[in-house]
Amino acid sequence: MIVSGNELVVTVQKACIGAGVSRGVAEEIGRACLELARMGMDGLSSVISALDAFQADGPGAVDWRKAEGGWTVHRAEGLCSAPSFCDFALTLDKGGVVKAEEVDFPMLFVGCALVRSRENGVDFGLKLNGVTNIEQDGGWLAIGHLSSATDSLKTNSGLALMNAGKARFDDVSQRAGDLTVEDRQWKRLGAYAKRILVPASKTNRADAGAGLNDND
Amino acid sequence: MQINTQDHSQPILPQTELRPPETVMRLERMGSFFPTRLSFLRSLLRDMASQKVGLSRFVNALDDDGYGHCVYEVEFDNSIFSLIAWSSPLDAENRTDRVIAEAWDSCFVLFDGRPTAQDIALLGNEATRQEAGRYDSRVLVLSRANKSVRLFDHVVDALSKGQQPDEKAIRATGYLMRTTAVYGNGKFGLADRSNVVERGSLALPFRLEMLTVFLIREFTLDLANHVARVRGGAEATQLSDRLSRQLGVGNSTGLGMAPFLIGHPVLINNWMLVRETALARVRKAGRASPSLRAEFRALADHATRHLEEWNVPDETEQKRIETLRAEWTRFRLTIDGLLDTDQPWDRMIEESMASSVDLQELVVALVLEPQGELVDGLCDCMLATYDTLLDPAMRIDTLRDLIEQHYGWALSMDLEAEEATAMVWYVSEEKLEPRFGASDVVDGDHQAMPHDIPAKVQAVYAELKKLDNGGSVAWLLAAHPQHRAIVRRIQTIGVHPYGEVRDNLLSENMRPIDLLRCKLSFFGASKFDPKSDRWTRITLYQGAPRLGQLTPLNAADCFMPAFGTP
Repeated sequence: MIVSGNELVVTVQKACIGAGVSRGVAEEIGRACLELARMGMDGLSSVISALDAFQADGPGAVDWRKAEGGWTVHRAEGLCSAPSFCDFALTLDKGGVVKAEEVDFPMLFVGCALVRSRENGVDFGLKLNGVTNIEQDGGWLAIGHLSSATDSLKTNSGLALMNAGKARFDDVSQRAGDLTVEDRQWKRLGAYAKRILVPASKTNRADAGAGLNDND
Repeated sequence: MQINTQDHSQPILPQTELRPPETVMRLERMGSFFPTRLSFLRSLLRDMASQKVGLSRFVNALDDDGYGHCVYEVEFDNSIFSLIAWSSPLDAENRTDRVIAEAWDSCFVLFDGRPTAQDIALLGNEATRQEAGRYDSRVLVLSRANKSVRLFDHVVDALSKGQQPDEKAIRATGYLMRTTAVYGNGKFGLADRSNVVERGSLALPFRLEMLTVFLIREFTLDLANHVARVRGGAEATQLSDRLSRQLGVGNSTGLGMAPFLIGHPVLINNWMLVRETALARVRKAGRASPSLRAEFRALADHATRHLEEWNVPDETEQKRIETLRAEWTRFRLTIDGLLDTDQPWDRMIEESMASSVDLQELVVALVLEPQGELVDGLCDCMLATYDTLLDPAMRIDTLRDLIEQHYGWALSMDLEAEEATAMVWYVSEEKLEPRFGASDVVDGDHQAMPHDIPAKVQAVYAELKKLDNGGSVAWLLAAHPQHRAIVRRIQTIGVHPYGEVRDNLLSENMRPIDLLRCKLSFFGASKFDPKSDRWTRITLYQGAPRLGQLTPLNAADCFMPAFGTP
């Protein structure tokens, strides 16, 4: 199915809110999925799995600890922790690092980092445990060039995000135009998104403040 | 990135102090706005006139009853755009302007380029189902319209008999059709706005939507002429140019417009800031030349006629218009004297402050009107390249200061009072229609639109009091992710202070129509005709020349449409 970028953002956002994720986080996850899609990466699978896990287990506690040169956390899940992961990286000087020994859905961390890189004008470097077959720069992957790491980003992993200083957007490749999503994924998101809608009733039909006939 | 809350900008042209957000961003004032020369349809008409945009191709595939399709092709900003219009029979019982409608008299798309016959056939199957259809990025805008049945029938009947229709009837309605939705920016698979922002003036807000409505107006006039010609044969005549200009396009608008103003604080800030900067520049201007004085006097007389010709069925609104007429009549008597002062426009604004907010905003629109050289360039600043900002490195005490500086109105609001939280904004599952109802209609926060801004501000402010001043916003949001959206908003408003409505949107006394009128005034809508406190009809392009007749001189003719005694 072909969708617009705006539809993708809004549908993911609504799905997250429908599942009970806070609105501010939902907004960033929606935009993260668009950034990923424009780089040809599939964020929707991760979001759907993350929403399913969120429904089953809730957000889970995250134990942020100050460490030398940055912040560290034992375990973080991608839906609710990814925006904060980027926040902490943005509070650091260039070269500062935020680390997690294990993250669920690393794809969502990458998506959020792409969003915040664009928004805050800061580049990020990324390190994933066990990733060896992709181009690396001193062990750090440039956040804008991760499309070849898609498979690695689908499984739980250790993850570190480095504040790499001022961003250069001209070397971030983006696909413009229509985006393709799987029908099955779209339906799953739609089911979560539907929860934010209020069922129709005779009474609330009047809440629109207009009549039903305009033959004048 | 760090958000800089200090404004070091210097005005490019001399200006007075801006009216502050706490004066401008109040519902009562926003609900009194008039369209100005900065309005989107006005800047579009100016640009179309300067580019001499005319109809470059026209296809008429209507049958004898006026059903079928038409294509209007124009070249604008080095691009070709085609309005495809489909006209279908519609039973009276199905004619509703609500979002929940499933059939319409006419449906439209603005197509990027020239559509093939196959495109038109395929799109016809989708566009006539509107929200139920699917579109691709070649389709820029989707819309539909219903006839003003009585006026359309009267016009066709008269023309088919070789007569011009009754001018009073034309004035009373002001349009042959009214649009009931104009969709863009990626809805239902349409082109994303980001696809076109690098194409000249298309980046300006609602530019493609305004172009679509202008072309729809052409279609409504052509449709009436076509049906009359077929029905009357040799006896039939065409609608005169003079009467054609008195017909704009109607629009029937409900709550869907309001959440947009709340959801795009940077964009709204920029609209308001441009409007206020324009006013501040004009207020600073010195003595008016004799020709400018004469122009303004003529404009004032035009405004008098406009107010006389603006009548609505709703008794309360009609009374409001009559009060404004009376105030304006008194104010008009002072204008000659004020025009003779050293800073005439500033004096007019000052003098207007003794009258109602309606009169004040009428005067704002009028003093801007003859000052194109001072203000038109500001239209390019009415777009936004981002929605909100978040600076996680901001210290807790800085965030607290921002709240106190920009949200004192929210902190002082008594939200314990029952009427303060009596209402909720929500979206119905019925065709996603936005609604505004008693707060118990929703089943949890996730079903409520996030318009409870004072409550959210008070909640995060209470949390901040418990935290160490030197801590960071990142730390706050990690521990309390529920505050993420409001913190982002507060930081954004710190830089874009005209982006927040400084009233309680959930109050029992809140009138959504104020938000509607504000937004519609930026579109360029006139003759507000409210049908309830959350639903209005308006007119667009009434008084404007037809496509192909636009010139830099007549592009302003739709300002406060008025036509004199029939």
